[in-house]
Amino acid sequence: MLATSGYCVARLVAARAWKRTINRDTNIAHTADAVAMAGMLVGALKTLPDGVWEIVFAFFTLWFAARAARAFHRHGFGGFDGGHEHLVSHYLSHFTMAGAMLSMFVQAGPSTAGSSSGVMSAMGGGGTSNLSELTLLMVIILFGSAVWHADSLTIYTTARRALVGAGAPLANGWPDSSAGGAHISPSFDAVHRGPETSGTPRLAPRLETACHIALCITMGYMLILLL
Amino acid sequence: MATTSDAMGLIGPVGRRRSALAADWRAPDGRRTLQLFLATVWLLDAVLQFQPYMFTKAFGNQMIASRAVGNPSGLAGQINWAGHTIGHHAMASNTIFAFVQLFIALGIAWRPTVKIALAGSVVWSIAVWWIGEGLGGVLTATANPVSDAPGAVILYALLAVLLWPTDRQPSTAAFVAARPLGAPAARGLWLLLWGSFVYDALLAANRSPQALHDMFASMAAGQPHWLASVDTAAAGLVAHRGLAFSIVLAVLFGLIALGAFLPSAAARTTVVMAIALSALIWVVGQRFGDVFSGSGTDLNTGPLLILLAVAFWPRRLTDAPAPDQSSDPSLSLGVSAA
Repeated sequence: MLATSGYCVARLVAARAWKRTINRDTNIAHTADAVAMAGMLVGALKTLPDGVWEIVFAFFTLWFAARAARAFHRHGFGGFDGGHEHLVSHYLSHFTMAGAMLSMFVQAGPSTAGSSSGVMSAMGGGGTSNLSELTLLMVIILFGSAVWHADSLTIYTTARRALVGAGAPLANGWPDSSAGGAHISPSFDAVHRGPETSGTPRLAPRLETACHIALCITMGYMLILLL
Repeated sequence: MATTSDAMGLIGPVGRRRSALAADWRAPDGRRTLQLFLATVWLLDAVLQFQPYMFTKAFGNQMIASRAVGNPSGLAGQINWAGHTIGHHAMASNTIFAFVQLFIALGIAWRPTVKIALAGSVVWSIAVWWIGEGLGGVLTATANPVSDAPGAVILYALLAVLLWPTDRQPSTAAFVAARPLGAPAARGLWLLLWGSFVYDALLAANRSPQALHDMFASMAAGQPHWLASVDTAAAGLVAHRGLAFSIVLAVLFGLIALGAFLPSAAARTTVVMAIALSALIWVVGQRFGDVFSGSGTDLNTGPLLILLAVAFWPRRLTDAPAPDQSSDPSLSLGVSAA
């Protein structure tokens, strides 16, 4: 988790320095998730009081709920952004992650910064959760998100190959396989565009996806300990 | 020359390593979607295996060894031996079990490794079914599909086979599960599974007047309040009516078993019945796989039977199946210029 949080912070810095596109809110949320979970798992790594984390994740829960609602309103349920990301499911998965973190802090009870007890000691397994069914639902959503993101890892390929062949036109953000270039990656100019900045390539999307997968699995594990 | 930036896949100047959209990537079709659901269930199993209880001696000495009860002496001896060995080396053995399941889950989810992962899951499932579940209790006189027969883990193997990413009949498969083996073989497996439920429902131990009542009543302990209430209510409903309910269950199982051989409209009805009955069994009879107890190892058979039923949903024959995505060489080797 520490490595994940460090990497997410590095992404925020690198994206600005190298002028690459990232999902800024997602990366900030990932950073918060990783730092908070590190503190839950190892008491000595606790950085902020539980009350502060509850406020942070309550904010993220509302933020991603609003983003999901806006995406649904603008693009419908099946809408994609300028690259490949399915907007509503992207925001709903992060809404669930934020909600799961908030749920963990609320259900596990108060503890102080630096304390080795508290949150993890409350997660001993065997039913500390008063919201068992909601917790199980969140676990299933998180694991489903991890699996779906693992499936989407192969949506990316190295653009070195993209420079070899002719570009294929994009249709609604997807490469148009009917154009006869089904086995040829798009040219550099037609590569994946992020949601904020049209025309700039995304920063290390596969590593970002790997972070998401790791966070979902760890978060699901901690929720299971609450069941 | 490879650099740290290259190794990390970070974007550099034009001509260096970066990521782009693969032109031939396809969104998951019906079979791939079911594979991903299967991977999700495997992932849940893997993480459940990381629960603290699983790293104690009790996992092997009690949970696994208890599966020997009622089995033939040869099988019981093997299960006891395995249980005590696992209990003696609890930390190492459970770590291996958990990571094997984790790799299976992620292997199914990542397209280049789906075949290896599915094949591995079949081998692993059969081994666990044999030693960890005592062949699902099918050799005992008390196997009950409402509780856990024929054992969840063998259903993983069945799903791996029926969702294998190859097409025997690429354009005419009647349902998703028919794509690798053909419809007759798939229907035969469906009949075998649900037919076994008919048999188990009518076993003497299961059709006695208080059998179902006693099973539901014993399940209420240690569960969330609302779930305990459901089990208590179910126990009251079936009290002294065990024979009647067993016959009803047997009839339903039998209809579902034969449903795969019926015309599409009737087959869809039986698939819906299978899904509904499986969901009911999962909640009332299996308590969501006992995940609320701290010692549940999997979600039990309910979700897997639902997945299986969806794989048998009759397709309109005008819907041609998408090309096999997982064996696409471009996914593992990268695309090449046409």
